[in-house]
Amino acid sequence: MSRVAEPTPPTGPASGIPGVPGAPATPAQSIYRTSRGRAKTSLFAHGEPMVWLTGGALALAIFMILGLLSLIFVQGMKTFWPAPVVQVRTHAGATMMGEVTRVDHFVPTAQNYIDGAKTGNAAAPATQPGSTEAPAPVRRRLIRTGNFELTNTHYTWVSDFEIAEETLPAWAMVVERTTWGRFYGVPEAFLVDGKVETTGAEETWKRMKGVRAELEARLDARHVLETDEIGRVNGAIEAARLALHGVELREGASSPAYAAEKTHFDDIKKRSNDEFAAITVRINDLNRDNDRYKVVMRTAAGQEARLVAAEIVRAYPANQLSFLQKVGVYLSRWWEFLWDEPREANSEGGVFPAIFGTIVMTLLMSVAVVPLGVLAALYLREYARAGLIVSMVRIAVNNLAGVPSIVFGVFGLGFFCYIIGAGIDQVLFETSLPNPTFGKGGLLWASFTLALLTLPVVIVATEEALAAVPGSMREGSYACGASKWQTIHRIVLPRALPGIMTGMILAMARGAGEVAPLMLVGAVKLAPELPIDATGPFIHPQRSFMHLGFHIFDLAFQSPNSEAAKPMVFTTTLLLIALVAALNITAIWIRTRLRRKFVNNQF
Amino acid sequence: MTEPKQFTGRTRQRKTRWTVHLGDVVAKNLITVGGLGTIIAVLMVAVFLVVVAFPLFLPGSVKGQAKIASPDLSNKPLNLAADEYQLLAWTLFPDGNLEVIRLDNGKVMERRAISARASEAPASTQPAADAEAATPAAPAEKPPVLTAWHFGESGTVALGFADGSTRVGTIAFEVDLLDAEDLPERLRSLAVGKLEEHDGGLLERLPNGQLRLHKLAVKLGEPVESTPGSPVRLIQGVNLTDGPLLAVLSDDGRLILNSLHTKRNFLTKKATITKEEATLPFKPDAHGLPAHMLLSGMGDNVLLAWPDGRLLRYDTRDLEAPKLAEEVALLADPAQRVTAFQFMLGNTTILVGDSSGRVSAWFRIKPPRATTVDGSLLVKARELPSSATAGTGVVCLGVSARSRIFAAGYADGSAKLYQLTSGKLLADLKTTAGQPLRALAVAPKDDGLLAVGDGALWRWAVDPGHPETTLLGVPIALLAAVFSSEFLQPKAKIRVKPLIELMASLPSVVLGFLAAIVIAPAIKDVIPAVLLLFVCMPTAMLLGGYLFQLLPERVTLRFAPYRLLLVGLISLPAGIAMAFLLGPAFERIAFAGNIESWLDGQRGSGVGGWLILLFPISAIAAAMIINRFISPVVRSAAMTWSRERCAVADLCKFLLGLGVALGLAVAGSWLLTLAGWDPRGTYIGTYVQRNALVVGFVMGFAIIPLIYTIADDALSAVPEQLRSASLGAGATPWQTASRIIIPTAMSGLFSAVMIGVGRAVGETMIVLMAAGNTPVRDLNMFNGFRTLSANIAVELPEAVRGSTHYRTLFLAALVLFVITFILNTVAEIVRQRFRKRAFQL
Repeated sequence: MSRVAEPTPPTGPASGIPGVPGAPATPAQSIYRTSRGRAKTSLFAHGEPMVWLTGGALALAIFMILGLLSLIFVQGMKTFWPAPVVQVRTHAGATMMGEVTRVDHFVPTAQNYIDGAKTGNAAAPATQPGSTEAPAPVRRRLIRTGNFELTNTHYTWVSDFEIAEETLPAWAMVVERTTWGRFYGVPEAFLVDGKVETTGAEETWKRMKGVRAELEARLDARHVLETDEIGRVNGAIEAARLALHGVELREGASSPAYAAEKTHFDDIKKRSNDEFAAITVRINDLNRDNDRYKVVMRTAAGQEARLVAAEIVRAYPANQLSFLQKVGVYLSRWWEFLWDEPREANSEGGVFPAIFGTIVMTLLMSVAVVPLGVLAALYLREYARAGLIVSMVRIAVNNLAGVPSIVFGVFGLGFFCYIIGAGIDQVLFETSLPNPTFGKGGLLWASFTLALLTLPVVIVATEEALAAVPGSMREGSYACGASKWQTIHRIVLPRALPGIMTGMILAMARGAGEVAPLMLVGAVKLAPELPIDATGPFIHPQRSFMHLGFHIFDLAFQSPNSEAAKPMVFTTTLLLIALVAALNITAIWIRTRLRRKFVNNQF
Repeated sequence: MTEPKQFTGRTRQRKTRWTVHLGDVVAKNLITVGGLGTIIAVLMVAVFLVVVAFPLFLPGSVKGQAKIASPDLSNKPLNLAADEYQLLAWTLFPDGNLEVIRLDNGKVMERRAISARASEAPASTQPAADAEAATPAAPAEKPPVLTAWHFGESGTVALGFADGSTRVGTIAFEVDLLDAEDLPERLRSLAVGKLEEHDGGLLERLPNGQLRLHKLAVKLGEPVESTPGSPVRLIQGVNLTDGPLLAVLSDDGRLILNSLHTKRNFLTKKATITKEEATLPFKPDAHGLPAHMLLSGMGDNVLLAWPDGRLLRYDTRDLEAPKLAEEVALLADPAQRVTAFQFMLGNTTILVGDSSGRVSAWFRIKPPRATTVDGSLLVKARELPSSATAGTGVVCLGVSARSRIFAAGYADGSAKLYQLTSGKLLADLKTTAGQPLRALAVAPKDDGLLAVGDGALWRWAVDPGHPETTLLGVPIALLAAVFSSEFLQPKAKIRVKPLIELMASLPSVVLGFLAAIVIAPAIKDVIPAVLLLFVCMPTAMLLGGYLFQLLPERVTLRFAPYRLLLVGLISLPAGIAMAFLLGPAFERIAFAGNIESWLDGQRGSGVGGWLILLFPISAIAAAMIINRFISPVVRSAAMTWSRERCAVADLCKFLLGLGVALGLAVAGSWLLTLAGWDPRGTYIGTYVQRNALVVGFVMGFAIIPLIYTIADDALSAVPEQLRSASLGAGATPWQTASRIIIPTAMSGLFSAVMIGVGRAVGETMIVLMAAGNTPVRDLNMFNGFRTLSANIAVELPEAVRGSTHYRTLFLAALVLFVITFILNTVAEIVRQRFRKRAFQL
């Protein structure tokens, strides 16, 4: 190829390089060339196919990222959209009702033909077993039929050739309940104290809507009693028990102090038990009042079921909804998702505790990481004497950013939980041993672990920001008589602030999306209590917490009803990506904004 | 005259306030202390990992060596096996007693007799005290003595008795999670990591608060009369799909194969065992009865071995007519004796230990011209060196239940742990006693070794496996970086780069979930098409380039800036469509119509598999052949050709190359298959839905942005004057890129790859979710696997603090730390050198 690379004008199209003449398309030039007997076949040298190959790789990378994002977006957004309820009667005689969740195609087996033929199904695939013709794939749909307590299944596959009749019943209701998953059926009657009050679908539905506010008021009251009141009583007993145990440890079980404490404890226990009984009575009253209302539903298979009205979270006649009503259901589900607690092994309800846990953990992490990271960067850049050691330290810190996150998790568990935490337990929470208080995974240790993990990010970003401050500004400041700290404090740091902020937010984005170390240091699938609440010292950094990333892992792999959990995984993923992307975009925005602000100040 | 203090001649008016000085000093000290402290704290991670993992390396080769005294171990136990968590072990003694031993204190928790009578129901778990009382006071009719035994994979056992009866079944540890409510009061408050005996098993409190009961389950079937009238001398059993197959050798020299089928009566629930029997043509001769017998995993071979090294192999594929296949001499030196004879995992490779301390591995091959009746020969595959001190023979062998690791125990009380495939000595372990070891067992997770010797139980901890990852992302990222730095319009680059960098901020849990839930099931249905994608996609892109050249020059010039759009909207979809259209045909031709059963080895020949493996090699070979022999000819001939003619010639050249590549691959595959080699079982094998291929694919998402960014920076950092000079000298942009820019930026590209690899090695969530976590260690790219990081994530929550397991996991973390640290440091140093070079240019 070098033979053609004579100092003749280049013949190739040079993309993006202005001023290079195009190929010699004019006859004059080609005559000139042929007359010299020299090749014009730089075509081979262009390597156009190789350029296409590299371009293809870039296109593929773009295709991959866009495909992935759009998949998550579409799947995540459509989870909550109310689907129509179809009623299907098969040739085999079964009738079922539900929402279509998935459609795919499969090649029927010989057994399908035999089964189809048995039921006298004319629409069964025509090809007979033994025929040489390749069977055509047929469509099948996964119908969410719910009614788990009656049918022992949440989902049913229905192939198209099995269906004898398919309808959209007008009064088919989707009922979301607190237990047993969804229910599909037609409302028949509304019962109060076991007596029929209304009959007919429309009347019953109206009555159901009418009684909703009353039920919810009682449910809220019960929720307050169950969490706050009982929590308070339990807390009192636990505190007294720990005090007693503490005295026992200090003075021994036979000491007079112990006896005194014991009577005090018994007193509190007795009082608490009374209180507890009173609360239980009130809860039972509320429950009894709520349980008076029942709804009689008839399923597609003709079974009758009595649903307790208070256990219904949401109900709607899916096939009658107008577009606006659908939007209403959609938004109310989103609202529930964002602000409620999970139910049904996390596969229904909301993810509020996970959002809360993620945000609190990330904030705590930032509080820990930013000052330390900035200090370290200031030392490295401003105070340490540049030399071999400093550059080695710099490389080492840089590389820590590439160390797998699980390694930090291992460190967090071994050092924070098992050494520091167990030490704190020995000193401060001796009475509650052997149950660990700080000696296990928890919010604080998770934050610290992630702080260590993201420290290199902050150090590197801050150092780069400090290095970007022109030396002239420092010198100017010194020339005006400012001391070193004054210069750093008033001149260097403000100008480096955008970079520091960027580092911090990038660290937060990384921390929010990290799961592997959290599995070791405190993220759990279901935390009964939030790390910040209305009891005790209000902030409980020792508690385990829920995390969006871990929630995804748990939903996708440990859910008992995995088919129902799947759409929720997509929605949770969408939420997590949105959170991380929002943090990243904020970083970019702050950077440009502050940069603009300080660029103006430059002299 | 004194000099003025200030050169301006004026004394300074304002003094620096003391607060400023103080602030300066305080800030300096604070920042120094805080900064240094922070850096030290970060670097301490490594120190801490070392501190925790270090005890594993303390003298005595492996820390975690524990000598556990247990009363009855001075008898020679027949078998020794530990549970997965190394809490319990069981041993069986020649008198038929089975003991369950706690590994933390050596206490015998349970003792029970195994006999030929099924009347003692297998579930009769007696506490140790009762059993001791019951055993001496044996019933009047003494049950037949245990005379032969075989302990197979995953707890299967076959036992032979003095009256010629045999029993098969399983002896294995089971775990059960218990509710605290079901337990007696004293066990409810069990502290984390503490153990307590309960219900014949060992109860453990896990760090997450659950209670786990470990218990031995003995399930033995009804006795079968195998060799009535004569004691069973040797027995071997394997589980085939239709029931167990037993090989039984009796004292009077009868060698019998029993195929057992269990039928259960639906009404009485009573199981009846029917047996098919085949007698092998074996007659005891001058050598006497063999000392060892093995039955291969498929039940198609019975091997008999004598102490003098003579081995007979019977072909038993046809139960009606078993034949003697060959006679082999296992030992070269007649002075030596075969002292141990055992199968590795999979029941195909045989380990032979001799009295000189050597261990050799043998397996069957199928040479083209074998004279044996089944066309295969038993050959020695590997010989491991003998132990250091002469005359200490191998006395027992223990094999791993999950990998190619085995342990050999020697007469001087030492044990060695080997990796068979590499022949590497993994650990050299010694007991204090000079007595021979009596039994050896590799712990189920390969993380420990147990031995019985000198009347005690010895236990060592062993380091687990190595990570493996496939990286499909590297070439994509590198090529993409080359394109965007060299051929992309600057305007487009501004939009493209952040998009790819956005991919970097995707949490890996998202990628893992997508891999497992979306990609793995989707790929499962279209495996041939996905395999074809690797061929079709580059082909379509290259083809696009060649076809583009065919266009008139004016058009190509006009459209050159929009190449990315063209390739993205035409070539890429075309490549994907081509793969999916050709997929079914490819499956029909190469994989006998169904790739999954083909991979299982149920049908078809090995041609398709070799095709997959050979195509990349043959493509490279074809490219080299074309470049070496065709291109110069074409180029010199093309001197006078028109542009169009050149383009056509170029296209033909490409198609020819493609044909050559395909032809080479097909021919190679065919030859290899003819030679009797089948790729199945090595690099490709049974398809598991969550596998290395899927992980490699999704790992691409994780490392593409990383590699892309660094590579793009490196390419863009090549000084502009180099580019201009090259273009000015008449080189085309492609020549500039491939011969000037890429070589200059090579070190930067190298560091990009290193950093990407570092990320892939340590990536946890993707592997955890998409690799199925099967702890297998083979090279099958369609199988699941587990990496160090996923291993830590799975096992650390269950490891008891300070235990060997805990320390071993810390060691794993340390290994990860060191690997990535070294990779990154090398990358960083290379990159800095590159920068320096780039500035000098």
